[in-house]
Amino acid sequence: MVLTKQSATPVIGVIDDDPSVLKSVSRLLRSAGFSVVPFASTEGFLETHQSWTLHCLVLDIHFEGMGGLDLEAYLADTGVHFPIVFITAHDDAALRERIEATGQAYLRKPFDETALLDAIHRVLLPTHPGARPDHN
Amino acid sequence: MVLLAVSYYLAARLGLGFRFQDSQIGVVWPANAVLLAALLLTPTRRWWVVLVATALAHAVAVASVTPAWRAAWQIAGNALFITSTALVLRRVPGLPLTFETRRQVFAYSAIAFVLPALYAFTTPAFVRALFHLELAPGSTLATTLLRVTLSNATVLLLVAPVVLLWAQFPVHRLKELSARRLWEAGAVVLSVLAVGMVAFGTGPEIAVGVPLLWVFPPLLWVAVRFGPVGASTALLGVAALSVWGTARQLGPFVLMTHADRVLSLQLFWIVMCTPVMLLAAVIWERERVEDALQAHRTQLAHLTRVATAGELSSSLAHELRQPLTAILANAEAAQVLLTRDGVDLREVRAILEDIAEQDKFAANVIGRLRSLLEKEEPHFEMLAMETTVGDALALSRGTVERSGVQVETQIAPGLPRVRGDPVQLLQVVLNLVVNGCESMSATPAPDRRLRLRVARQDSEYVEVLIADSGTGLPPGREDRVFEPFFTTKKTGLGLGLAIGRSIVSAHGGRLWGENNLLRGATFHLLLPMDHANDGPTAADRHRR
Repeated sequence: MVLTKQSATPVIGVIDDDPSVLKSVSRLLRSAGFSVVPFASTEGFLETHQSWTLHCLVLDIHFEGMGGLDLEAYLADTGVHFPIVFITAHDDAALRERIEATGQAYLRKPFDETALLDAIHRVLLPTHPGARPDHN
Repeated sequence: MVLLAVSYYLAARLGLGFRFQDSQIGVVWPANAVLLAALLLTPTRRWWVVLVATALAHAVAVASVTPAWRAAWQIAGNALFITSTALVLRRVPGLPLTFETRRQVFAYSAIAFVLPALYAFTTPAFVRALFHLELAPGSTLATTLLRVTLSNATVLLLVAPVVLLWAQFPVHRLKELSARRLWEAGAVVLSVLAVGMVAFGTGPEIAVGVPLLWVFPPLLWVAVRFGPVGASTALLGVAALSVWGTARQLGPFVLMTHADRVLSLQLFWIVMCTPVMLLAAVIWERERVEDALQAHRTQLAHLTRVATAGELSSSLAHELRQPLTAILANAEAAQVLLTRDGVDLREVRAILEDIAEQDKFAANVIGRLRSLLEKEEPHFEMLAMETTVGDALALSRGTVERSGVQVETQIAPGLPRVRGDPVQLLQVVLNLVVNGCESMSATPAPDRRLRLRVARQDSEYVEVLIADSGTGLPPGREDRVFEPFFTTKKTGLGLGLAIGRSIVSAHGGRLWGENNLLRGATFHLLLPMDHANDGPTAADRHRR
């Protein structure tokens, strides 16, 4: 799976408070050709100016303090609409429906590479059509 | 059967030895105890074998001292007496006869008085006296009757329990006895011997009165600590010592005339027997009840633990999904890396190391879950409460996270260890953490805080404090949450805190809850420190 040459490499922010998940998912996305900026917390994300250059977020739902959904709401309040792939280790069918209805993606851990990349491309598509993978 | 015949023969010879010079009536006839025990331990259809074997042994044993007609009478009479006693015993107290319940001891004692009294009318000594064929000098019909009765009652009360209990005793259990127990047994034997020697082996002037009473403390000690087997054996020992002393013209009983001497010896034994055996049975019963209670408590603790594990299953699934996510993502990243030219081997190695580490993490999660599910006998060891708190938080992380609770943990440095069962204490803390989280479901998200503090409470206790900002305890009746089946939750048995408190009490600690001033409740868990091993180095040595 490679990205089409004509688009700039999308930059993905990964936010998860579990260091092993943060590290491995970032690694996976890098190996798939994305630029990745990892954050260990939602607060850490908000404090970084770099966050505004991101194209997409892979965001854990449950955090101590501000959770993934709180962050999305906060961003929406400030007029920023990120394409977000929510990831969670909990089963919650209602939450999945709610999230998918807004056009964002919901992935239950553990997920494989294909599911993650598909989800990223799905949420990226409306804003970055060029990021669609090119299946040769 | 050969063993039985030999035992009977030896007991009969012993009984002949116990006969006082001028009388046909023995002080005791221990062979009857052997016969009774053999009958009680044999199914009825095999009784004839027992009776034949003992009859032969009887004939051989008494051949030199008793005319044949008298021996035959004795054999028939004894067989009738002991067989009927065995039949009654089979029905009334019931078998097996263990002397471990009050009921058995009562019933047995009553039978051991009544049947010998009835049997006395059939003995050669009485029948012959009745027809004035033979009467020992100085005795009347009534005293003959009394002496025969007491002689047989003594056998039943004093000797038969010992023979029966030791014949039933599982000998392999002796090997399982702890060294401490063996020392205690040695000490008790010595003290019975010593007191017996003083009471029965000193001159009659000294011995009369007080020293006789001294035999009771060691007897009570045996009854309390060594059960019916120990008590009956010690009683027989004391009786043997009293015979030994009296035969040597020592002890309190030699002050009386010969016939009185025998009677008072027998009465002394009989009076001694029943209360001591009864005490042993009462203590034994009580200990069994306590054991059963303890077993139930352990079982209940296990059941609630399994229930907790069930409630935690989604939390544990969450705990496993984190490392599984990382492992999968890492493995797939490595696969991609390996397809490239110029593979970055350093990166691949780092990935594999991470995978191994996450796998271990997952194995730990399963290990903790297993400790909750496995049914193990409680075992006490030195443990650090901060580890227990850490394990409880690890197990409940999913629940904590989903409840949107922020956990603050504060652990004082250099905490002493406590002695306890790691799984049970984990269960208690886990229960408090999960309860705390669940009580905050109605609390506004930013205020959901669970505060854990582990600290030295004073010089005696380590305290684990768990404070939530949830609904709190029923005001004025804070302790009700510790009652079994009291619950404020929609799911759950309402046993968690009740079990928790019983576990903590069994550890010599305390568990209670109180409402906070503003919101929620605080639970205090106190566990006694282990003073025997102050400091971690001593504790580590102890562990090894």
